[in-house]
Amino acid sequence: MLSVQDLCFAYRECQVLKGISMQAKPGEIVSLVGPNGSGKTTLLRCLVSILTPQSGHVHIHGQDIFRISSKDRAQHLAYVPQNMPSKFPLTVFDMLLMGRRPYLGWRPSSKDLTVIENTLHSMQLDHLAMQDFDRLSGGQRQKVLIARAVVQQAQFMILDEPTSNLDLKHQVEVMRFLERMALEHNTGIIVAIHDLNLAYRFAQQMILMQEGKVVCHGSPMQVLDPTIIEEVYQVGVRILSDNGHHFVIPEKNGF
Amino acid sequence: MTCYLPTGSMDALYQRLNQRKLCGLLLLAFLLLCAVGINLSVGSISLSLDQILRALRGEPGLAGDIVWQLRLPRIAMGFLIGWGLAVAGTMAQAVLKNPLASPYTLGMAAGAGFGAVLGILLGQGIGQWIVPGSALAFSLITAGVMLSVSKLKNSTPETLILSGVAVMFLFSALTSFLQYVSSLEELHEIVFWFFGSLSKAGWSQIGISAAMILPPFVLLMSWAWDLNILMAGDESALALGMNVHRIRTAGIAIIALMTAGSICFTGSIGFIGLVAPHGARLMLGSDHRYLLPASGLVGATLLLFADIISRTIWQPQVIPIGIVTSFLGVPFFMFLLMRRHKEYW
Repeated sequence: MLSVQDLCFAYRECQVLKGISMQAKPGEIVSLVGPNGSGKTTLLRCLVSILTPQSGHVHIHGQDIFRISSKDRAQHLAYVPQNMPSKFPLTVFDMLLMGRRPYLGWRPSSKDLTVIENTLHSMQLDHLAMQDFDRLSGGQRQKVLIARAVVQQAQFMILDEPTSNLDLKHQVEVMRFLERMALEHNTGIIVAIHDLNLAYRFAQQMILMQEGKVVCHGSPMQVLDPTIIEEVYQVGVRILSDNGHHFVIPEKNGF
Repeated sequence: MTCYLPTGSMDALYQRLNQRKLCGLLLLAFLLLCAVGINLSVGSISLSLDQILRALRGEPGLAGDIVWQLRLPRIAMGFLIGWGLAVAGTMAQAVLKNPLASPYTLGMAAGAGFGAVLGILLGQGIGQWIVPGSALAFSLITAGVMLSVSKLKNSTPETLILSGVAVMFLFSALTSFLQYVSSLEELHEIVFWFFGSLSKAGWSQIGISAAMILPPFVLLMSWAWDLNILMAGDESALALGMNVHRIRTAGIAIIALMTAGSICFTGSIGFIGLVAPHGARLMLGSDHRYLLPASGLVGATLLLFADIISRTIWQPQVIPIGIVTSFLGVPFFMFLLMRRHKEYW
């Protein structure tokens, strides 16, 4: 269980997170939605200690993650950043080896290499292993970054808009993979995402943020309420149903 | 190198890759050994292999004096400088995440230059230690400034590079001023310092340089994995449990120490710190476990070959090593740039 209590963060004068509380369970996908600038990325960065919050707590299984060593933390929490600029050549294999850093000695053990091999295989990245990371397509790059988090073998995986630069096929592929991670490895997944329909389709829990606060927290059905959406996004929407699935679409004159 | 995953296991593939890199290191070490050998034998008096071996075993005579008092100190100093500048350059590229970075980017060399000039002007007659001492002091002062910049909360590699450039301009202006007010004789000595020369090296200076270059290198080797992860950006490194700020700050201190140890006794010797890391990177890739020793070997080898040229091309004159390094380094660097077939930076 990952629980966040009353997390506050400010960049100098600008208060970005104003007392966030939330929870995520192993084996569940939590989708974090909200307009641009609502603090989703900042929240995720606080969770993985890229940023240090001014107040509040984050516990994993009762352990305060700001009190444990950064190496231990990296064994509990894996992070998939939005993009990864690199000015030096790195192969896909090099990237995955980094994910084993929390476990590595001077030379990678055969267990490290087996984990990498299995992950490459299960994500169908085998043929790219020795390719230059910078030369991959956007979709492949995103998959490699996810694979790096997978080899980290953490109980919780945190992803910052993994689908934002991808085409429809890759979006669905990535979300299906996360679903499988949750089901088969009991990984808890927290994913910031813009596409409300994708979030709705794959998440068990949804958290809607606005201006650094949690506006609504619950099942996707509860959160995707036209009045709430309209209030937060300032866009009129309709919820359509088809075959038991629900879809959010903006009204034609909703602006 | 582009190669597809063969049917063998990842383990086997990885072993093969590592073996290839190890072979590369051995090859570089062999080249270095050749450079040392040639350096011992050529000069105004040529020595045969037999003479050299006997001199090394400690047999007295002219050959012994030449080897122990003239050529070996030069070689040891050249080795240390090449190694130190190259490793410091690799480290600068890693912590600043910039392929253009070199030990000189952080302004330490300009600081050392100013210190040396000050020592030349003020220290006439005080002794042989005043110039290197002052160069050392000022490069460490520069390092202190850079360290306090890096301690600022929002300092990024870009802030560091820009402050380094600013500090460099400040010190060159100060140096120019001192040159302007110095006498002709002093000016001659100043110019000579900036050429760089291995002739000034004695065994006690070599000992000090070695103490400033070799122990930090061992420490850097133990950070090799962290340096690898730094390549993927601060955000990834932090999320993978690395203390980015500490590595960057300590890294700057180490770069300062190695750079100062390399240049304070011999004057500024340029370009090795940029060429050698890139040469090594092209040969062995970006894994710092191999890259750090490889760039050290490339740097030392380049410098020793430059020394051979400087002592033989215009006998009995010795062309200052700083000039030859650039003459040798620039074509090598251009060659590397032309033949790379991948986007390296």
